Amino acid sequence: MKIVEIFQNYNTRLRVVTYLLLVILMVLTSGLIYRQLIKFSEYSERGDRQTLRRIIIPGPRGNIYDRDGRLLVGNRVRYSAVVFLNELRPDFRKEFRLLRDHYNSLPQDQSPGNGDIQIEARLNVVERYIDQVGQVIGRNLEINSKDIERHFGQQLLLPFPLINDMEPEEYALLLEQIPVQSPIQIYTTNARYYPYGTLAAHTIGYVGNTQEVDTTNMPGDDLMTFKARGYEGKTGLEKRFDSQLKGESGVEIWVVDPSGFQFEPKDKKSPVQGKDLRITLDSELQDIAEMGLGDRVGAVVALDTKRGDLLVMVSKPDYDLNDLSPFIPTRIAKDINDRGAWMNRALQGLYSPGSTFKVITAMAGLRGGFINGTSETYCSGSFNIGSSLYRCWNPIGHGDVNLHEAIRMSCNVFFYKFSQDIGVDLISAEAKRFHLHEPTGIELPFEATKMIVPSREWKKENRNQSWFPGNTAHLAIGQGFLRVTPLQMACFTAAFSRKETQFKPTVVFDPYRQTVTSRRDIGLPDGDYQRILDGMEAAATDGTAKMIKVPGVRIAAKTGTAQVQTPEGMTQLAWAICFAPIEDPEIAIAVLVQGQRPDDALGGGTTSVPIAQPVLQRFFEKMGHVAAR
Amino acid sequence: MDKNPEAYQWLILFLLQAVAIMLLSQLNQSLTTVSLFLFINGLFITFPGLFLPLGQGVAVVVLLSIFYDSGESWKLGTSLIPNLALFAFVYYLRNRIRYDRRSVIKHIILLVNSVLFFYYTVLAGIRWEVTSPFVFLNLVHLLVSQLVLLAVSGGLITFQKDVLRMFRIDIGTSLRGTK
Amino acid sequence: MPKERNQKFKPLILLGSVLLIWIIVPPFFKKFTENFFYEFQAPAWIVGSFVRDVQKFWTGRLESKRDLIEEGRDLARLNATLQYQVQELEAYKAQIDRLEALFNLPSLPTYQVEIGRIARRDTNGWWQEIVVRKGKNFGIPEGAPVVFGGGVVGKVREVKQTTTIIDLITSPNIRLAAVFEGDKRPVLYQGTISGPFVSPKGNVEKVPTDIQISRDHPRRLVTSGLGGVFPPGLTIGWVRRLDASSDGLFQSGVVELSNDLNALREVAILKSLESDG
Repeated sequence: MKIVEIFQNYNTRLRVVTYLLLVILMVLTSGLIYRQLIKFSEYSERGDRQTLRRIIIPGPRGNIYDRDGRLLVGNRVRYSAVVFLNELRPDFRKEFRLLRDHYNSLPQDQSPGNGDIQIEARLNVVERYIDQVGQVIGRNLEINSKDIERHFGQQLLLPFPLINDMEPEEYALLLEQIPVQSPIQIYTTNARYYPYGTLAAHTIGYVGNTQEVDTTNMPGDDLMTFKARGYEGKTGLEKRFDSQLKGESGVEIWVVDPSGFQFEPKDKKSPVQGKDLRITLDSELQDIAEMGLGDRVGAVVALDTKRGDLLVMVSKPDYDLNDLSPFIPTRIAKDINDRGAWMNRALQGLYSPGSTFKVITAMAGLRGGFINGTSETYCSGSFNIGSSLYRCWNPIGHGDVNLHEAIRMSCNVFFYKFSQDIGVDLISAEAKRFHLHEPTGIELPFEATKMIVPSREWKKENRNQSWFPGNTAHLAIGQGFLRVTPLQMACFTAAFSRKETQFKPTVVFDPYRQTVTSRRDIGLPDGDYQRILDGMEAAATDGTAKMIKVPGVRIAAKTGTAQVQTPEGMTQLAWAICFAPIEDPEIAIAVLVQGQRPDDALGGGTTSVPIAQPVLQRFFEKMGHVAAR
Repeated sequence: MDKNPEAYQWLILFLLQAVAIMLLSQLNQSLTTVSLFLFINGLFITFPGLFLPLGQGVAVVVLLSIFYDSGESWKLGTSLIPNLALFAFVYYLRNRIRYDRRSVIKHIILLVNSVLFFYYTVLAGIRWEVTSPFVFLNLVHLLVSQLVLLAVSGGLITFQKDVLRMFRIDIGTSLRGTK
Repeated sequence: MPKERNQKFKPLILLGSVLLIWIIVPPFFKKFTENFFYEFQAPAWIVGSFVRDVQKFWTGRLESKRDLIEEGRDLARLNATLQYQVQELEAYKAQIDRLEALFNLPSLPTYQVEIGRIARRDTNGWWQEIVVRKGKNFGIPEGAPVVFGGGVVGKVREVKQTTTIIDLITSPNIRLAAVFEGDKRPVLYQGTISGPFVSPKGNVEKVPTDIQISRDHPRRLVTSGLGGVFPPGLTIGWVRRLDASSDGLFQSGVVELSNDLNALREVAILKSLESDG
């Protein structure tokens, strides 16, 4: 009541003034709440600034985990100190005036134009801030005018980096010692981080910088857009699953002033991290295989024969993925190039499979009825086809050899002899039955496609020559024109172990996946299959692959040693394939070691088998079939 | 030297208000434990605006602004413009209101005080980030300050008049003098 | 008529003239005025602070003898414990010195402690600062860290002749490189204004995603010692919850600061011995 009375007693003019003040107060309040008043001094200029710009900020990529949930690829934080050029504008103006006054005092011919003075002013101002940062972190930092001008011209709305990739200690120093209101902002971006460094480097793959961002469904499609750099997968899983891993970009829409500087934010959507990926690799087995291969050149592939999971994929030489993040320095690229380490040998390397192929020749012989349980030949250490002499690996010969012995001891002469009866067509067809002529289709990019399973037609077409019996002898022992990848040999081993002709490997982990089958039966009578299996088991027990032994586990294995022509001369390829346990196979492995010099003494049994053994051992320890050592 | 005490009323009033500001800061210190804060500068601006001759009023307001800024952490001169502007506003009102009515004066004090409070809050908002607790805290402080002023401003006006009277200055005389 | 109009605009003219004079007054004069007025007020705050001390003294006098004796006994017990801890500290210090000499390590930064009584406290929506009864006269440097028994208080912003203005850690102007106890990765602590009638709070940001915190298992946020201002291990506050950011890179949360921050009577300003030369 009292207040009403008071107002009634006021004269009209006072009331007008009071209401006016109340209105002003309300404007002030709402302005305060909506933060508009923060830049109230610029309010009047607003009319001139109705131009919008869009900034796209890519979201961080998703993580990659191994089958046991270990982090293989994550994102590390990159600390940088940046300035937004629009916040330095008062400094630029002040510096410009100072410089102009200075130059005006000089004779006309020594005075630069306004444009040059502006460039100098910007450089001076940014230099002052960079010196401030340098002083706090105790480093001598430098900047050049061209970088500033380029940023000014092309990336005005993005932060200008004074220093990138600071150590956490430097970040901490800046946090505490640079005043909160300083135009210097401590900025964080991200880069790929690989806790295990080189582990499965080729399979995981690396990422590269990109400004290509999918902007569909983003607001402001018609606006001038500035894109902050993001990452895209270049190889391996990073490339194959790029669309899943890459984050959802954030977007900021700004009202800019006539000079193009940020004036006020209009719309903002934060970036969202990409989806995680869980893969089938077992980083523990992978590590064991990598250590086994050591510094040698080669590849190891291990597959879960039941579920199709790729457990191990090693290619050596390799590289530390952390060296390639956030960008690939020229020095590192050259080093990897020189070592030939870019190539994923397991997936892309094409090699003669050597004697491991004898399993296929044996199947062709059995299937065609050219070999049976009683087939036998005498190995004197060599075999004549026409006028050419074909040697067994054992110069003194194996004596009387049947299929079992031929596989156990990897006798070449046995296969030379029977290959002449089987013929190229059946051997070639058998290899194709196991899909050795085509990629496995694993979810990894750049799988080799030019594998060779030679045939008469192939030779005619590619070499314009007829097929000779000697070519068949070479093919029968996995040499000559035949070229396959280690992954294919692993898939072949897995398929054979399951009495099937095709094995489709996968890298995508699915904890609920049960045993998968290709439904492509091997089509061999059980007795014939068993004969080969017995030979392979004997090879693993007391034959060429006897070093594979894992106590308590029945293993089937086959070794191979092939010759290969390199610029340095003839070198050797040492192979081993195996699977276990024979009664209910769970894992199949293929190992390849490539000799680098002619004097490298490699052998499937002595070089490659010892690489596969610890992988098998650990696998069965983890499965609980074998007590851990 | 002018022997007329009315010539020095600006100095007396300034000293009185300076003491009041210092006492208030002591009171505020005790209030921090209950996260409260009182701001009554509107009173200090309104009094000279209503009761002092123009020149003397300006002198008080200028001195008071400098005194307040240097004691608080505001940059020197921060309070000068709003204080003078509000002083001028009150000075305009003095011939148009029934200033002998306490309630009218109280309302002017509250108005001036809230404008000043908003002014400082906006400045703090520019310096810091404006968050909802910031707005809420300031609204509560404003409310408490206004309530306290509503309760005590009448008494404080009388007190200031009484102090001036102690120095043989009758505010009524001064006021007529400006007409 | 013209005279009357002049009369009408007189306040505006006067206002304009004062502002004009203010603008053209040389900065050193303004600075002088500011300092003059400040130093004029400072003694009043100090006196006020002394008065509060006296009040406390007299409040103490009113306590019953029995209570005082009990308090005294408690203090004596505490004193004995502390004396024992001081001895332990001496032993540790000697051990550290020996190890430093043995491994040729640079000495840890050492600080001289300057205890200051609080003369004034401004914790409101405009300022988050305290004024301490010691200034240039005690050689207090700007930017020095300020602590109390419960951890970090803030940082020295300005040093006057006999007083020092300290930004409290509740001030959004304060940013620290902190770490969670038991972790060594720096995270960002920044002060923030809390609403009325609630305990003081701050914000923690840029927390790595693998740091786990639950309401039942809060974690202590301490100074990292990496920022070059604060020594390591001082309590900043407790964090009970962290929220992940949408980009998945970090978490952020609210830091509950000590309630005693609003009722401090004494603080310790740490003067780096190195900066003293």
